[in-house]
Amino acid sequence: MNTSLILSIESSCDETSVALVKDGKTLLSNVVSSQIESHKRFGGVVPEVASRHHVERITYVIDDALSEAGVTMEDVDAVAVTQGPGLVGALLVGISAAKALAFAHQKPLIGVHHIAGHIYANELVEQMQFPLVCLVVSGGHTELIYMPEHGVFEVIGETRDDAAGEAYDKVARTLSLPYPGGPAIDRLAATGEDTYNFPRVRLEPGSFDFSFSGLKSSVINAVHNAEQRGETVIPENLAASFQASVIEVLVEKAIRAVKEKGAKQLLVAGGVAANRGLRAALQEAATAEGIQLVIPPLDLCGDNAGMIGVAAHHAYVRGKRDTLAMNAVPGLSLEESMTV
Amino acid sequence: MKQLMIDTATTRLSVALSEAGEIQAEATVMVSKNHAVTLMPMIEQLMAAVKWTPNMLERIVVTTGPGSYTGIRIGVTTAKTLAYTLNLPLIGVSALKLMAAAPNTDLPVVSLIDARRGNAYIGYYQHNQALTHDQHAPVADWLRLNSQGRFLVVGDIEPFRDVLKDYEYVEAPAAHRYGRASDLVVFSDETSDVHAFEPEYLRLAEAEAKWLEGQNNG
Ligand SMILES: [Zn+2]
Repeated sequence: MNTSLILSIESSCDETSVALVKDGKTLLSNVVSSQIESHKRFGGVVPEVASRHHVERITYVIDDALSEAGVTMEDVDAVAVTQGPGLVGALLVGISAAKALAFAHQKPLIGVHHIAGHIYANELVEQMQFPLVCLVVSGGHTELIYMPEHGVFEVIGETRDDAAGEAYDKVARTLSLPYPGGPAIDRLAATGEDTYNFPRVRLEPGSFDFSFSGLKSSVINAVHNAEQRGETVIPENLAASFQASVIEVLVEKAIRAVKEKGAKQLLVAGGVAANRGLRAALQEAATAEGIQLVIPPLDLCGDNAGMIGVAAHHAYVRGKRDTLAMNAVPGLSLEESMTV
Repeated sequence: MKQLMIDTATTRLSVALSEAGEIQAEATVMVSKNHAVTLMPMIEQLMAAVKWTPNMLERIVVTTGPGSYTGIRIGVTTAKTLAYTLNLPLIGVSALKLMAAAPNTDLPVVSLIDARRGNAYIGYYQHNQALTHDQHAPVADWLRLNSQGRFLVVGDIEPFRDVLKDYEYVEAPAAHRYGRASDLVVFSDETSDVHAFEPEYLRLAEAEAKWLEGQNNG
């Protein structure tokens, strides 16, 4: 039973998304209703506002996804939903809707780890070859994951302080760039040069962990020092210097992990995987080292239910089933989440 | 008409099933720790007890709030998704109106859901008809402006005894102090558009209120 039609729901942060995924390979539909315009006025995602928008949007998005895919609930084999990590109030809207659909049509319910979803977005580009290493970079995560087979995740490196995406947001705020900060810095960096020589934080030799809080402070200090001296910073060079420091460490550790683990592929996942500077640097390094690099297309890097449906397919095939008592787990561990 | 009724607006979790206006099954937990975990299994158990399958349902009634933001979102999302996917009419009822329907009385009924620091979500009903709109307000101010003569109080009475002592009020007996999902059986009018169905928070999210304030102050 390697065939499946899965309806999946993602509502862990500020996107309400529903997808229909065939056999873990084909997106029949992947509808994403973004709240970004609403949260812009606050300069970041406000959990209560996000939860309210999810309730307003959820059945519209389910309906759009089903009709775009041209299927009905009767055709669906299982209902999948992001169980965590994420904003608890936001997660609960998706979970409540998923349970209602599963109960109403007597279909199995499958909870999916959000990051497992991001990783599995790559399966839509290239079939996964094990063992593999995945670099996960998003607003809340910076991790190196080792996968010996489907559904098994070993965190071999993670950030000890800020996630890369968080550092991007804070630096963007320091430079008064519009929300969301990541893409804004990426665009600005493309026009500047690495002139500020910010530190590259590598931690102990051999470590796959990351640290971005020192870098973030260096950037903020550079801006403040310039202000005090009555000078102006060159924003594009500051952005380019910050981005160069982040990317150099990410690429270096990812490539080293692939070699040390004898991985067949390097995957990239998470919202920051949309960063053009990072994509280019990884591609260059991977080509030089003869490593197969897989990066999802831009529209699958952000949060979407399609990736949740792909991860759910592999969990479904392995027999993972959750009960109608499933709860949202805002701090869900990846290593324990997707086992049956 | 086989009807599913749900109330998750406060710490109480209540589910009931009725057919032709007769209650078939009901379960109420007065202090539910986690509606997210308990609601769906409770619906499933009650349906199994009366041997109904989901496709036999004909109507859904749910409290829309005010109350716990998370609680009402769980109830409303569950109800609207069921109504959408089973193509059923959906009815939303104020959680304060449900509480006011619990005691059998001719007096006007004041329903209170504690919202801390002297504030409450307040409803004012008589024979299931609203005498004022549901409000979020300081209870002392609200009583001064609205109450006339004797009234009956339901809901969270304890935090407001001090304020209430200046008024001529009657306390609902403990068993009728809070509504149960089965009390929703009397509310069967006013079906809503399922997709546009939303909770009644009665309050903006804090960040939104502050943002609006900032806008108004230029
Ligand atoms: Zn994400």
